Amino acid sequence: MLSYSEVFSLLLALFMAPLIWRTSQGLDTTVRGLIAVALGCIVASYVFTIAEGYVFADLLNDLEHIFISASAVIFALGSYMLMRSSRDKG
Amino acid sequence: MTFSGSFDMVGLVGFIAAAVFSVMAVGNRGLSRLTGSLMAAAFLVLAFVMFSNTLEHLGITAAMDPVEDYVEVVFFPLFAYGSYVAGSERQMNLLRSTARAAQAEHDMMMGILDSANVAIVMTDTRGCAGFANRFAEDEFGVYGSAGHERQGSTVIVPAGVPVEGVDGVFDISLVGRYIRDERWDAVTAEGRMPLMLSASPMHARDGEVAGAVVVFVRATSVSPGPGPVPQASSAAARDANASAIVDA
Repeated sequence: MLSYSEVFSLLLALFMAPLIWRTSQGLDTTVRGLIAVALGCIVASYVFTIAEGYVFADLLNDLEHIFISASAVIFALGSYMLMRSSRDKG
Repeated sequence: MTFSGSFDMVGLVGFIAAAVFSVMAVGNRGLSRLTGSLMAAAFLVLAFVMFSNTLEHLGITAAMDPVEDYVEVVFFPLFAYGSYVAGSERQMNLLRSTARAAQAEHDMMMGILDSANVAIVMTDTRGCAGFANRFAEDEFGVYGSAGHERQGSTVIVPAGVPVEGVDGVFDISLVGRYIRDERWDAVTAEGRMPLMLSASPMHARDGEVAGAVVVFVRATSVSPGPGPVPQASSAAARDANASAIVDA
């Protein structure tokens, strides 16, 4: 069954992801790339969340959780690199 | 613990770590306090979602499940706002450092101009001095002005030319052409002072002549060139060192 909050989350993500990409210019290329991949994983998890209501429920549910946890790991790595670079500039 | 539940635990740890690192990245050379806070808040939003899912998968409680979707919606606006603030701050820092660099260049150029032993003046097309270095002010009484009124009483004209009709400091015959070591006179209340003058035109963006850069010294202060100095007939050339003003 379609959840409107899930659809809204997906639309919001699709709208804001390009804005985030644009405003992250000037960041280290690697960090910017990690942010892009992490946001892509979150968007993918939103897609799987909606799609699991129609087809391959178990598989897509597992993929949803895998991708969201992957985004968490990538965000943690990107934040760590930002922290390191802020200290290395000293 | 289900298969997906274990990934939720990984996600929970990951987002908490991301929030902690975001806060630790705050500093003079890293993120600003506002950016770090927004990023950390965004990550904690997703950490809450992972926490809710973890509790549900562990069979502890599903009470947070109804709230989860609405909390999750806040992630992208928070993250986008933090990213926008960080981008704006980078632009502002770049502007500040550019302004500082430009000011440093300006200060260095002014130091060079004011240390020079020659008069350096920038004029407009009417011959009015917009800028005059310290040597021009001290030695010749030529002052720069923001407006178009002549400051001081010094008028600079080609050698022997009367000063009537000269609106600004310089006779406008020097505007728009390249001049190299020509004999000009600085006319003051005390009389005429011989000068060696050089000038280059200044152009506006559209290519039109906007003024001139004029460099001049007293003709008697020119250092001797190679070879003997011939006898000069004009009064201003009596100085044996003045080789640049010899009569033809």
